[in-house]
Amino acid sequence: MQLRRHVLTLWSACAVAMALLAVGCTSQPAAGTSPAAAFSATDTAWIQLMVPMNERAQLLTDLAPSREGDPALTALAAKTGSTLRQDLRRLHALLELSGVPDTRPHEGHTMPGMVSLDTLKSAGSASGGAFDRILADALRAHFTQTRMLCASERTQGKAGKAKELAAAIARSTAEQTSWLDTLRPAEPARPDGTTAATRP
Amino acid sequence: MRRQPAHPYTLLVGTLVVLLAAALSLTASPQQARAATVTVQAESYAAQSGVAVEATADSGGGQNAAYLADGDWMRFDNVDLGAAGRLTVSARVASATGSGTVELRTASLNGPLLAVVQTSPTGGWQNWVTRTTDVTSHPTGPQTVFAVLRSATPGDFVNINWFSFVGGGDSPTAGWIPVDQAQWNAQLAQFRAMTPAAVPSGVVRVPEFNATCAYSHSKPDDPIVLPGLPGASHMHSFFGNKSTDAFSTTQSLLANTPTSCTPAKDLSAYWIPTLYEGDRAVEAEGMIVYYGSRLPDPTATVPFPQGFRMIAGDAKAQAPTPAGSPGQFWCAGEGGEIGRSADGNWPVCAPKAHLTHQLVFPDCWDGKNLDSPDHKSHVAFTYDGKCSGAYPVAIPNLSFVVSYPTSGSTAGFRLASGMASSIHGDFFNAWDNAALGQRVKDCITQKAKCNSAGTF
Repeated sequence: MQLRRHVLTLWSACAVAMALLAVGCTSQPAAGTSPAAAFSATDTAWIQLMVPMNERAQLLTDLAPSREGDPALTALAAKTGSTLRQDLRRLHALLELSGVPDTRPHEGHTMPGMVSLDTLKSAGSASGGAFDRILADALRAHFTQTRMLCASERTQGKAGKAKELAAAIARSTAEQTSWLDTLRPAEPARPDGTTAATRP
Repeated sequence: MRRQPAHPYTLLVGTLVVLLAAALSLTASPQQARAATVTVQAESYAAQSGVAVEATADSGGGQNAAYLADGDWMRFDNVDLGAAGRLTVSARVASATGSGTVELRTASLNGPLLAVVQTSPTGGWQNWVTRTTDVTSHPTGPQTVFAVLRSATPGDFVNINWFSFVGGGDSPTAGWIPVDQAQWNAQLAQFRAMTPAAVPSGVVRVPEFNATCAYSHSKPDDPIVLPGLPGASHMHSFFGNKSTDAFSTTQSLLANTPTSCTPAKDLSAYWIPTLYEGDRAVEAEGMIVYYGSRLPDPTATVPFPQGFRMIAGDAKAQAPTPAGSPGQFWCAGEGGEIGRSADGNWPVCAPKAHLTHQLVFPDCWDGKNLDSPDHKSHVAFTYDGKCSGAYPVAIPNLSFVVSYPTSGSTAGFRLASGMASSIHGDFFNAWDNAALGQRVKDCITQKAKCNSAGTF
């Protein structure tokens, strides 16, 4: 009995060591692949556009508490702001993982759906109902573009982590849009397709 | 298996040690032989021209180089660039206004180009960011490095805190698209085998051919900057390939023959931000894409590799462009410019003159990459009439000349990307290799002006 236990111990110890070796082999990254290789040009383009979009939207939501607007909208702005912050952290982490240098390709100019510098300026000097209108229109445009970009990333993107984040952002943005719609229904579009919030 | 009942534990320990050592050695990474890893403080120059030094607010403290304008330079001695292989070159920069580049050269002020770092406004003279570029070949070991400032903006355009040179890693870093060397070598071999056409007397002896393109279509798409993301971009006006959109690739462009350009064998995509007068888009009458050379000796010029792409101009630049600003809109035709817009940034043209723009692209290529993370770092402008160092391959010098059916007004215009200063252009090569190669051979290397058919 003693011998058998030793044999078992020896065999199982060897098995454990072999398993460790095997695990060591398979967890060794194969030559040429790295987490960065998982990210396509679409993934990194999506990340590098979402970052400035969220940064600008956050500048707007940060204004709400001081603009004496509808408390319900202020509450929405606060929740949106904290979601934006959290998403920005996740976006920055993904960008680092991708290994792509942060060239900030959209710095200094306004992309479609992005809260513009002019909007921020007007919002900063508006209060009450006037601020609420600016906030609602700008957030709606931001949400709409965000949902579209996230949908594209989910179908065209390559990196699983980026597509997961796109799905999560799309979900939370859809919720915030519904919430915004109950507080401030969207304006009907003009015959030419534009609304007060859009500009070519 | 023969058992040694007398020493089961010794055998066990021995086996474990051997196996674990084997596992460890498999996971240990190989040592890099002398890869560069050096940071050079900008204020530590051995010599300089036009450079001031000030206390810096950047993390790490110390000082930064300041008041840097076009033509200023700094020299750094004994910078160890390490062993051969990929080198990541970074510059820590800050800028309140102005765009340009920092050229790093070795040995002398006009020495071979080591790397080019792009700069643009960061939000303030002490708002610091790190701008990075990669080069795949460089002089090894200790070098004298010159940093030369280049900008079309008059006046100071950047502060620099430090440079860093980090070597190692041979796989392309993210965002770079290496050229398929076998494919490129085949394209080059085909080009080298071509016989140049004899140039008759009377032909104008300048290196030039062109693609003459009508306006094709507009979309908020950008297959270079925002691939796979339709509607993500500011509005672009497309010329050339009629299929260009967010999903375009080299293959899709080559497979789609309708183009708004002559010759039909140029399936390239060319685009610029859409111009607006108020909320009304003003589409160009057309774009002539000139392929020329600014090198006194263009005989070594080679065609663009298939799938090559690049951007010129800076969509991020939002600065005033008063009369006389370089690289700006002007009035072509009878009467020329008769005034400026109220904001001073746009010309007002005489009734028979039209708003026009010429955008010039870089002349030298790194020979290794079809694209880079910022779509500019794989190419460089020549300032000394040569292609050298990290950008040794002479490519045709591309210019977009765009003419709009408007004389303008005091109301001025805007671009989809913002102010007039944000004008930029994108080129995605999809020429038929033979058609492009024959033109480079006949018209560029021989310095003979050709038409859009590629003949004299």
